[in-house]
Amino acid sequence: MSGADRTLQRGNWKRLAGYLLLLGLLLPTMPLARAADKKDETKLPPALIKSAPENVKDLQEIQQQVRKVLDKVIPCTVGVRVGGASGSGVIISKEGHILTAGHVSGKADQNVTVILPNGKTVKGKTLGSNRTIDSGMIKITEGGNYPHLEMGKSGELKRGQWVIATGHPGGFKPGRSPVVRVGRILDVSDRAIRTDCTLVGGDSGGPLFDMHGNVIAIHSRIGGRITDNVHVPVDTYRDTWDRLAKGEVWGGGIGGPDPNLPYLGVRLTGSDSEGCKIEEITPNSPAAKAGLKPGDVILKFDTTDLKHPDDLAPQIRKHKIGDSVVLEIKRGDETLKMKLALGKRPE
Amino acid sequence: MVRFSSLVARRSPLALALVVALGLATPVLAQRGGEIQKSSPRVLAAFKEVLAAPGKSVVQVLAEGKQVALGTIVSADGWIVTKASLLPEKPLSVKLLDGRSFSARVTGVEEKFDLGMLKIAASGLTPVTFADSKGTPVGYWVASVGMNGEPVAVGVVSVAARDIPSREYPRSINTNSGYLGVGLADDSEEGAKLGQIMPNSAASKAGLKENDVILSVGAVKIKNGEALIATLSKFKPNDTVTLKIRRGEEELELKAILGKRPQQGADRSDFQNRMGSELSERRTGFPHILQHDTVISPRDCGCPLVNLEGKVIGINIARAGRTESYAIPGEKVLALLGELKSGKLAPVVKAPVEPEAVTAARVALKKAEEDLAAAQKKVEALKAALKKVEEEAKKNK
Repeated sequence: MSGADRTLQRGNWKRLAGYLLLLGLLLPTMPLARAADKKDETKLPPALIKSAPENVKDLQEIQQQVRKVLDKVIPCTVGVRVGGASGSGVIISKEGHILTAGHVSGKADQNVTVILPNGKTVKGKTLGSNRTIDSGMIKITEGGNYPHLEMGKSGELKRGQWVIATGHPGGFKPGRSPVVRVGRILDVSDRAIRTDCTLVGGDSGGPLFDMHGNVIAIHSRIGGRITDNVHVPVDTYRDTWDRLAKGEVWGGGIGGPDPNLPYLGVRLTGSDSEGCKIEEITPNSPAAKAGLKPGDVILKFDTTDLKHPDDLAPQIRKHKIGDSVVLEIKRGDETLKMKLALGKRPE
Repeated sequence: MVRFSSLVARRSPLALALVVALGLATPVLAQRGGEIQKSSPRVLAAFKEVLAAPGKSVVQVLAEGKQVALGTIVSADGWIVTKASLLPEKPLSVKLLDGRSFSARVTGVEEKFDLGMLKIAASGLTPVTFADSKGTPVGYWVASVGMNGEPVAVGVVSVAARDIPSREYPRSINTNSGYLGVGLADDSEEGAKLGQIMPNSAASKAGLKENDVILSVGAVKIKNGEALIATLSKFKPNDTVTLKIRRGEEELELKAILGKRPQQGADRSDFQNRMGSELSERRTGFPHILQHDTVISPRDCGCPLVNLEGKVIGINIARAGRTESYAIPGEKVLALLGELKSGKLAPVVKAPVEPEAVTAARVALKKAEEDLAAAQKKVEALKAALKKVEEEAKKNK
């Protein structure tokens, strides 16, 4: 079993306990969450409660409910363009807050073009993201009073529950409405949800809905099987709302490298037998400024010997941006010592 | 397409690393998920009652005893529609639900929609009745029906029937020229210097290496990268070409068997779209389609797409991407049936072509082109001569 799978299945209970407590503490300051709580959820048709539809009548009940949800959620499903990249998003406040994936919003305060389902575009800015779980936020910066949806409670989701995905696979295409997929929850934890609603590039940031039409997760990534479609649970957005809304970017992993970690600016050949041999130097990086060259082999980082290509990154991570370090380098037959200051990762 | 793929390209090494790990899940997880998936046997069983009737109109299309496609009976006297590009140029047969087999003739092919009409010598068959797809809005269930009314898969309408602007599919149609599989380097004083060799391509199999300089292809001297592209475009997949190259100080001769150009380029969007399911080879270029999220097999194209009322709202025509399958909507199929039956779209019967004949024809064309170029040169020279003579005549006056 792979490591990723383990994180998906194991430790749910342990994390869940801490998670509920945290949620309880945060709730009083969360107007959006309160609104969702107060909402009087109409009852779902019985077919959606069954473990599987048994006949055509059940299927009809499901499809009627899907239609109801789509009428509500399609106007709030948007396309977003950040730089040269496009993804999807969902509007969740009348002022135009948009939930998206962390790898879509990227760094804070970038210009965004938001494409509404009718093809109209409005301007926006990226806000914060949690790169560890790939959550991100965008805000529309012009106009107001946007149609918007409630955030549901991803902590209450169950395996087998029917869900709806919308988004813009392949990016927004004029003349094509947001693309609808219906499926079921196959796995759920507090960090990721897996469904059989198929996703592909361009869907990133698009919403997953429960059968009430509440946003329960945001599309993030896919795996090798057609049933490996992974979404970021919406509770994580609610829990970190203030940080996301004020434009904080933190964590590292699925949504991109951690911007708060120091940066050297070298790419190694990665060959086990060559140790930390440099293949490429990023221009203007600390490594470039110190005079490191491709072909150099880093032998020592401060006092630690480096033997394997994997030995370098942990040494860098021990430091803070701005720290001075001494590298011992082998260049041809010479051994050199270089002092340099670790910098900030360019975006 | 390229745009969105750059989004994923930015971060995907990380994202992919994780999801690839997910993809290696244990069989336990797969089984556990299996019973609750939207296409689990229990969900499929709920569709059975509406599929019994349209299921009577589904046939298997076979070549050399193997299923190449499914087909849909459109009239009692033996007319069947299917996906044209799935039909090989081999004797075809059609197998009916009752077990009878008939040899089948291709009587019409509508190229843009990739719709083919087959005729078998049978009567008293049960045809489908097409319904307008507008009655089945986005989000409604659709089932793709196999023989005997078993659903091959189920899904929902993702996008209502729509026109596809032709600019969305210009690239993928002409994939017929030979493909070497190299990228050009920027700097090249003479010949075409190679900057990149695609893995598993004709070039890599022939032993070409980065920084090799191609000096000639067959008898044609290659002056630069442009010339290499132009020359290779005249060949077809499976053609053998002799390449004269310079590698460092040496000059070598290599033989390469040209391949087929990957249909949409091996870019990341294509890579993602191929994750998890097999796609139809012909999956773009349809002027008008209904998009649904059913994961169908490419070989099941040609079967009817049925709504919960048992109405046939389209014919499945392509497994087009990870999130999408395409059907030609019922109203469109109806409009095309007459023409497909009329014989106006009958495929041209071709005699088997010997490879030598192809080479001969190509050589002849090349010679004619050279003759034409020479003749044009001669015309220019004669024009110049005439001008000169005329000017002299003027002066002499």
